Amino acid sequence: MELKEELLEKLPAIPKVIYEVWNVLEKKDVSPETVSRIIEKDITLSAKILRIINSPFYGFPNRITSVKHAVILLGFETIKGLLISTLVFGRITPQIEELWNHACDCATVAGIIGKSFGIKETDELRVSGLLHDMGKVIIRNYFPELDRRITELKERLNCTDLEAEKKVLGVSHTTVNRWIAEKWNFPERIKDSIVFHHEIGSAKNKLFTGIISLSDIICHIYRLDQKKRWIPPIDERICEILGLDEEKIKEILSSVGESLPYFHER
Amino acid sequence: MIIAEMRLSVEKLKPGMRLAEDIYRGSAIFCKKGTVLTEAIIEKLKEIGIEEVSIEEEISKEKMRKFLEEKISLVEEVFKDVDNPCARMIKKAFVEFWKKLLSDGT
Repeated sequence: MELKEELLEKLPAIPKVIYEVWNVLEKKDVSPETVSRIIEKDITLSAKILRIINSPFYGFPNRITSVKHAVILLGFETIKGLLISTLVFGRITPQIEELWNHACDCATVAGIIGKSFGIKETDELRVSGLLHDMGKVIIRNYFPELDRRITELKERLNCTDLEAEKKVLGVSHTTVNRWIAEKWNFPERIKDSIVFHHEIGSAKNKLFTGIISLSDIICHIYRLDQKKRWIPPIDERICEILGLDEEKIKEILSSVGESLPYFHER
Repeated sequence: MIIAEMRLSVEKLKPGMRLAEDIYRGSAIFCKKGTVLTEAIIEKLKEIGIEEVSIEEEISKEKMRKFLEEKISLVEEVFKDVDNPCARMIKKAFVEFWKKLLSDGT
């Protein structure tokens, strides 16, 4: 497939330090010290990681100022995902600002939902939220002409991004997610959830993926405005998989309202 | 007046805007929440590599009411062809969520 090859070629080169961390993480009995020592060799990378985990969606009560502290708090899978995030969202340019905002919203909401269902791996869920649309970011950055056609079609037909992507690219952003996840050897659960968040029936880890799917849906509805008048398809199995009922969704929305303030009264 | 919070990229910042969050440089606070931005501060933010910040925006009650009413009608609109019990439940929760803010705020 032509697009796939071209896209994989255009992906940013993985910096040596990230490779080193990935390799170390493959080994058994690796200590947080070892991992953080490698990351700390790269000052820019350390700063990027600290900036992401200190952004509002992590909501740690105290500011995290050392990489070692971050590795201990977040765990290896999450650190691996965060390293990937720094590659995908290298610099937040005006072109990808909207995607970055949605990614941050979704990370926040995934954390909220995970917590409300008592899931242990909320940090990993947040990273999945951050990365669930990474295919769109890559298309926008490296294939601006195709991206423009997708946007145009979406506006003209008032359809979902999935439909427009399939018409223009032949595949949707979730397939692009899979290409990248396979090439970069993503942690299993994160890969599963970013590939299948629009078709949870095919996911191996349905609970984890269902949470990412619901987060995405909630963020899209929350940010509806005159310019953005569509939401992703809602798979009715979500309610069953998550055990979502009226009380639960109400509780989740109320936390979302507190964490993603659109406004507050003084 | 109601104070809203908005994320803006540093490129779009203008003198006179108020910060809605503390800005850190490393582990130290560089600028406190509530600071009114000046040209010099904006330049410094760019210099130290901050990409976006939250700023405060004043909104009249009338504008906020319109905003919330619009949210409710948009939810109704995007759900008009969606019909499964799970989606209906999510829709209902959202309509109630915005309606509650509407009745709290005005």
